[in-house]
Amino acid sequence: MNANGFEVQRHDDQELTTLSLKGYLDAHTYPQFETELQKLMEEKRFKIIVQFADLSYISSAGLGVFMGFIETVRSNAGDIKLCAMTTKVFKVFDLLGFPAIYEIVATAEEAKNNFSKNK
Amino acid sequence: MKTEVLKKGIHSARWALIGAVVLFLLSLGINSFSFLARVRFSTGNFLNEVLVIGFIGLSIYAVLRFTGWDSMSITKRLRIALLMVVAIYVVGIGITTAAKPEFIAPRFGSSYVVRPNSISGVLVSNMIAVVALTALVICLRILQSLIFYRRKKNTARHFSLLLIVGSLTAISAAFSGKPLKYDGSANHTVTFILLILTTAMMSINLFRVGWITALNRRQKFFTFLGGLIFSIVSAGLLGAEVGGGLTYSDITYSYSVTAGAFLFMTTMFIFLYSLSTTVNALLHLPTAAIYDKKVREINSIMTLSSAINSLFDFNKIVTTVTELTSEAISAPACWLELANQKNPAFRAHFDFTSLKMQTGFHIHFLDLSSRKFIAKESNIPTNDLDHRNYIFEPTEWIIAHKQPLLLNQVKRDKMTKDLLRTPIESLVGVPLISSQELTGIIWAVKSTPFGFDQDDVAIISALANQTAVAIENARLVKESLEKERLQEELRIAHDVQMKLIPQTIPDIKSEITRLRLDIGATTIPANEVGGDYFDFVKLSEWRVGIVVADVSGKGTSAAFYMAEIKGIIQALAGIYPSPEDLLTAVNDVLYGTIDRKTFITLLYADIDISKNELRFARAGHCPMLRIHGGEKTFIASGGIGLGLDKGPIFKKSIEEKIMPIEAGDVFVMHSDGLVEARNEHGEEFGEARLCQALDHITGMSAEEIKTRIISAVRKFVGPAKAHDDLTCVVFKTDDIHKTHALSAPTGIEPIPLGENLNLK
Repeated sequence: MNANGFEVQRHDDQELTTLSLKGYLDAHTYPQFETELQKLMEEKRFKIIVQFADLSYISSAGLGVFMGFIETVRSNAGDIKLCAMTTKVFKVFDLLGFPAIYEIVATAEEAKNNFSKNK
Repeated sequence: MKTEVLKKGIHSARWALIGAVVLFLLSLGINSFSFLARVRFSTGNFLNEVLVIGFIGLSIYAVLRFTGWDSMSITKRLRIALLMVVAIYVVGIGITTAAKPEFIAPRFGSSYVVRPNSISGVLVSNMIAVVALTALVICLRILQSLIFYRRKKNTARHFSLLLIVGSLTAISAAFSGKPLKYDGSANHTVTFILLILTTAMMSINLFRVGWITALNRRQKFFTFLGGLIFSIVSAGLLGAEVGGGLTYSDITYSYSVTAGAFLFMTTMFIFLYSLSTTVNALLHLPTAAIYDKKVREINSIMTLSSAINSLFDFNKIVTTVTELTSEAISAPACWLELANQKNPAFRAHFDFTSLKMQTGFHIHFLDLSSRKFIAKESNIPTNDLDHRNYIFEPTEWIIAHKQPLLLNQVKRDKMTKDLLRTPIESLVGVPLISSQELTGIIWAVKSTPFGFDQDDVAIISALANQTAVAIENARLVKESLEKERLQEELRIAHDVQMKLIPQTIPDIKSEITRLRLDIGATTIPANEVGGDYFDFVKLSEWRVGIVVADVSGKGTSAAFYMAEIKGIIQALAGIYPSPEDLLTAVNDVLYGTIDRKTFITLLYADIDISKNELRFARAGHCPMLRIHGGEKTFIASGGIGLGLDKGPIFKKSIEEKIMPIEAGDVFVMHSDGLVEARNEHGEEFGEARLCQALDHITGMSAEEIKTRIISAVRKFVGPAKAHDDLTCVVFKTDDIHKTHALSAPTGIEPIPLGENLNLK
């Protein structure tokens, strides 16, 4: 549906994993992202940073993916931290009230620091 | 049956037969008279010849009229022909033995005919001639039907030419009064030339023995024997003595030269044709078995082709294919192994009953999941066998090569070492290939080594092609039926969902404030079923709750959650006077029943028109737009989506707004599908365009405002495909006496608010 498509890039740094999202995350592309997160769960990697810099659109289905994993992650002393959102994407998260549930920060660096702080 | 057919034929040629009998009686009369009166006048002879020509002509006509010959089986025709020839013999020998006729030698040497020397001679020659002529005419007709069996362009022409030249020869002989002989000096030159021509035409017709190929092996053998008997018998008619030192031919000549010539030539033809038949049948004998097999193969393929066109049931295809393959190549067991669509493992499919019936030896059971043959009676339950790692090497070979595999010495081949304890000696497997993909394998086995040859492989290959097509067809039909069924279910779901959306707009008014609430609402699902919805909860004459919600994700699950939340809100709205408390309670109920990935965003406005008050709460949904005194404000109070949190965070984040309402205030609640509607260039409609659409709306009804918004969105989106559901609810306060056409009181006339889908 979207010519832009969707891409997830994974980068592991010790116990941290950064997932960089690109393109459109909607009802058609979310399974791809879901699979990626599922893989992390299987590998027992629970410290996850999701980087939104290149994400141009997120729909409610895309938002749902985060909800599907947050409980597992947090019960395993991990977290999903969101960073580098464009204003438009942030607005979607904000409207839904995600800032109340997730830590949303400006940069990946900041997210990384917050992980070490909590240690 | 035979007599019936004959009767019918005789009936149609009754007059010709009566005529023939009359002519014969006349001829008998003339002959008897001329003998008794001792008058040998040439006019009498001449008259007799004319009568005989007429007799033969009428008999041929009568026999030709009878068309039953062509539909008779070849063996039956041959039997009748044999019967005719035997009749000639029996009658001939019988009559001559009984009557002891006397004949005298020709007066002018051997080139002339013998003459009867007693009245019994006259009668005998007449009787014998008539029987012989009739029988031979029938034989000739049967010969014609055989010659015409594989009729070609010139077949009829050659046969007619033979008849014409033969007739001319007989007539010419009659004129000269001499019997036909292959001796240039014996006949008139014209007669001799005609005889040679007739013989030439005979030889041309001798090659028309195509009917032999149509016989099966046994019939070919009998045809060979029959042909031999025929040639001997017909040679006998020409040369063997019947009695009194005379041959059959001599006696017929004595009756009439025409009759004699006809007998001579017809018998000659029967003799030559019998020889030709014998030789051909003999030549066909060695290949007869192969020919029979080919015929069987063609029949199997034809049966399969016609069966397959009408077979869409997978199991029936399997049964048909295995049965036909067994039959075509005489294999006692045959089965189909098919590729599993989802997983690359193959599985065998076949019909147990047919296998049991066709199995001459005892493969008592072939395990479907393991492809393992179990040769002996086995009581081991299937589950106890470890099949997971079992590999049937011939299958692997065919998967790798996509070629037929023929193993004629199963017990000696490494590939089939697993079959050592089975009675299987020969194995053949042919791949089913559909659009270059291997979809399965047809297997056949025999209990003798070298049970199959390349022809068998060819025939299974032909069947395999048909089968691959049939299986593909069956799969497509099943898929399209499935698709149709799903579409039907979705249509039902759509109808049900549309019924969950309010059918009428509640009439909310207050005599105290003299205000009425004017509402316009619509929802347009992007697909058959949507996740958007709006609802009205009438709390009293002057108080109403208006809900706009969006379930995350789309399709059936969203539709289910939509139905659920509608129920929860309708049940709880009356209990909680504050929207904040209501939504917190809704979240508590919902959290336990909703899938973790799913959440619902929702707006709830509780309007009490008697107090001019609006209480509003937002759970993660797009903000509500308020137009108050010409000023547009998006009211985005705090609140996370429903179903995201089990309670504490939700309770903490939710925020209730209370605002006064005045006459002329307009409120717009919508789903993200409205502001995020995209055009062809990927641009979003956005809040700015929404505000723009709401300029200059003074005096418009809520319905008109809603229509204007929807039109603006439609115009913006253009031909692009809707990617999300779209919901829009507009409400405004009006003077109590101002009624708009569409703000019909609840329950009077239902107004469909869910717009119809454009199902393409």
